[in-house]
Amino acid sequence: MLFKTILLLLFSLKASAQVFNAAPFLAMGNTGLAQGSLYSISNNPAGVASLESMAFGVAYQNHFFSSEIQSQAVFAALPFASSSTLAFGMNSYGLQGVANLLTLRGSYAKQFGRHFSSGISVNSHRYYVTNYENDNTLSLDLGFQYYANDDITIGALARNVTKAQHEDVVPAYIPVEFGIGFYYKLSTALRIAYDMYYGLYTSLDYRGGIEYAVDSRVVVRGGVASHPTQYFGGVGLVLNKLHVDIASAFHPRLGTSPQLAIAYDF
Amino acid sequence: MISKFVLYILIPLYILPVFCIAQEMLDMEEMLIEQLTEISAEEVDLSEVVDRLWAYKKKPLNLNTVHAEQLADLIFLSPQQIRSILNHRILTGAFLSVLELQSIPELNDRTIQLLKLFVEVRPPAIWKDLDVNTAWKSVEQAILIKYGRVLEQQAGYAVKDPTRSHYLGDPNRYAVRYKLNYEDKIRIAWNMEKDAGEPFFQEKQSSGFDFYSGHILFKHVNRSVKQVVIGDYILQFGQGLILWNGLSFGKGAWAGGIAKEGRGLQPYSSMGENRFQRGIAGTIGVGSWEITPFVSYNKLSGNIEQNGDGEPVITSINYSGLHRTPTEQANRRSIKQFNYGTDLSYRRDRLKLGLTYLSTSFVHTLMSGKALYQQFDFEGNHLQQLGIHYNYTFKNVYLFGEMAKRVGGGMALNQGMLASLHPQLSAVVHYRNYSRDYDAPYARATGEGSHVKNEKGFYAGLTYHPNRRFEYAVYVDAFRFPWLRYRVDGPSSGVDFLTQLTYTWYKRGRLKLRYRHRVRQENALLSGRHENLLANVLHHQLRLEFQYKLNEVWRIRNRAEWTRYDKEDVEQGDGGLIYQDVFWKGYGGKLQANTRLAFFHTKGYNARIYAYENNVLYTSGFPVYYDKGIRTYLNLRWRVSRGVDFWARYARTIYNNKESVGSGLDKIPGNSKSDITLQLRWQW
Repeated sequence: MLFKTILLLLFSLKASAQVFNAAPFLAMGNTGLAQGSLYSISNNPAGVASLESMAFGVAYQNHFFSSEIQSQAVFAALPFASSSTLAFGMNSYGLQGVANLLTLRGSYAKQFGRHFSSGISVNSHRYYVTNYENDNTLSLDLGFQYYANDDITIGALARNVTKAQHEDVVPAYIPVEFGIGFYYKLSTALRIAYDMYYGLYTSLDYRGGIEYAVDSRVVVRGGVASHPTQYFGGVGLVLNKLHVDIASAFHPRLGTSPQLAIAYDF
Repeated sequence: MISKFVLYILIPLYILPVFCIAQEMLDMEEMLIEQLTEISAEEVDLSEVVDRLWAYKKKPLNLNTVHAEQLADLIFLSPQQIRSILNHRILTGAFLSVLELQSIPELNDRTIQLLKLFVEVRPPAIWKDLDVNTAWKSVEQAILIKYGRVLEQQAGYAVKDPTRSHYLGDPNRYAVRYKLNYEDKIRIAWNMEKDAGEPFFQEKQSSGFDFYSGHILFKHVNRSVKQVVIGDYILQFGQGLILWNGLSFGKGAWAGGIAKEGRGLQPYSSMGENRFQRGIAGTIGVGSWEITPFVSYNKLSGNIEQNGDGEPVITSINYSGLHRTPTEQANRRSIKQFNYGTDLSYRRDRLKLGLTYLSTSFVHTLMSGKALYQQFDFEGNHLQQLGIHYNYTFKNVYLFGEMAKRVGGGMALNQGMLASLHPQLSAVVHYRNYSRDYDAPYARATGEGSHVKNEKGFYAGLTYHPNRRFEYAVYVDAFRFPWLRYRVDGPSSGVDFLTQLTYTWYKRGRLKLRYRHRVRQENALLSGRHENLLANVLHHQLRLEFQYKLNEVWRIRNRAEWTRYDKEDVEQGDGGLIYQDVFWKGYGGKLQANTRLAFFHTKGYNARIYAYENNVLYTSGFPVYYDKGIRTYLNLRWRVSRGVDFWARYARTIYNNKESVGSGLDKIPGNSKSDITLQLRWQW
């Protein structure tokens, strides 16, 4: 029973468990619906449509600092003809060697003209407890992005449209949520993101983030989200084709969850 | 003090039109008063800010002699702009005309337009040439007399049995202010006040008024002695962790309230009967260094009892300033307090560093309360704090902070950053950590609690001005109280979120939409349980406000506000308020009037709504509207002659289905309460 309680505590933190946002998105308050990036694979699949070259990335996050709860993630994207991109993602969350939630994602995104792109992502969720339980299920995400002009992008996401869930005995759920996002390039140095999520099992969640380029290589980010109220912050470095981003969530009671993400554009 | 830098980078477009017309300075009053760290009073004395701006409008600053501190008093100038004006004077010599301001690149057209209201060019007035005859011609004096009362009889005045609590005085309120100003070099002020219910020439007020306050200020005495104040004065240093007397602004739609910039030593001109110093203080500057030593001896009101050993001890201090009943009379000015200390600051280029020390001694021992939440409160007769503070401007970033320690107690720390990320977008972040055993009776710092202690929090805000017409402001403040508080039997936390969109018709009006959401926790005793649980208390507030200047004679202002109070599993309620204000100006501006008609309906006091009310000069109201009824008021201002102004105010609230208004000694039979105020000012 105690074991189950610990697991329940572990996985009831929805934002950490089932949805993984890489450091640039995490630092901006877990926004990203209207942004285009390799890391969009686990956020809004339509976002990978704007990639122009092959990219690969990894991320590692320690949840609530000193605890043993960790996330690892891998991202890969391959743009090909006709403004299409194939992408693959994997993220795992859990207590190392004890319990684990693994999500594998396969995405396809395509740009339609200059203003519109959409993406679809098929996700396999595996819940695993060593010597105890094991469950697999599939979910489907649909994403859209509309580029109003060079500065404004609007994104939309329907996560888990099939309403897939684990078996009843599994103390984890896959969020069913709809999000709309807004991304505004105020200048070359300053960008603002705002996302709003409506979840079937949760209340409205508002998220906002800001990104400021101190110079061409260093980017500072900050953000806030409403449910639960958390602050986020991070720094990104651009070293030619290599992107190194660190970020953290600051939960008022549970503490910090630092993450390192590294990506390479080929 | 309002941070000029913040104001400059965060709300220029919003605030500037407000200054253009004297009448609209009232709008600024409203903005400031909503951000006072303590919003509770029906009447707030804003003279500290208002007086200063009006004084500069009436007697503009001389660009050839003006100091950085004086320019900083005009809250719309940034430190960079102030520096550029002074540099211009150094490089090109004395100003020949205010038009020269246009050649200073840091000043834009609108700033110049405003600045012209408060500055002029005159030959420098030289202190050493002062002789009594010529000086007296430059002296400005003013006397202001104010009277007010509640018209209905309140219960406290009708009690005949002297053994029961009752008001010893009459319901009349009197206040007299006198001030003298010679070229901003010598200022003298004398204030007197009697609150409603306080005796007049009776009891302990045998000399008439209940409260007297005065000061003599000498400014720019010589190269080193910048100012000396004898009498009542206030001190504002750093971020207010140790010493911040006078008005203190905090969170609000105007993010500028977050970054404080202490104005140091200032003479005290308000009618508040506490939170100031009485004695002597001065500011001495040598090179980049400035030192402000001070000594103060004051008597506070409070309760003194005998402890088990027969020693007198202080069990409470009453900061209300009211001495109406026999008990309040007995406690009046019974606590003797002696303060001394200093602030030492160093300023170089864009850096300011400071060190503050304050010692507070009581003749008797101050006892802390016995409740668990008071466990870490200070107890003793000697309290000391020592702290350091700084501010630094680096490119488009302004950093500020303070760290303080109570000797023998805890620490307090705050740190903030303002960044003008883009001409249209500014951000502010602020972190605070005040320990539960930090105590500083004169501290006023950014935070959620009424005291600077037992609080951790992080504030983040953005202000966005896409163009001259729109302004969008948003902030989130998440905070925790690690130790227990009054009516909160456990560590608690909360969130304060505000978002506001303003559309401005330049010089004509604006439309404002605001939503504020607050969560805190407090005790809830559920049926069937014997101990308190903590319940979330949610406040939602939605406000739509419109104001428009129809022509030179008429101006209107409307507001609709809805609020919801939701204490988890205990109580829920909604409240609504609608009002219409009309402003009128006639006879060439000699006669001005404004009136309000408000309808309000709230489910009890918890769903109450606060709304700013126009009042007579120096007074601003922020009264609370609750239950169901109508409130109306009429303000008149008559410029009788060049130096004589007269104000009159009548306000009345009529409740539905009430047999009495108020409670205790303030209780009024019937369903209405009305109040009048008359004020006369003579300037010469």
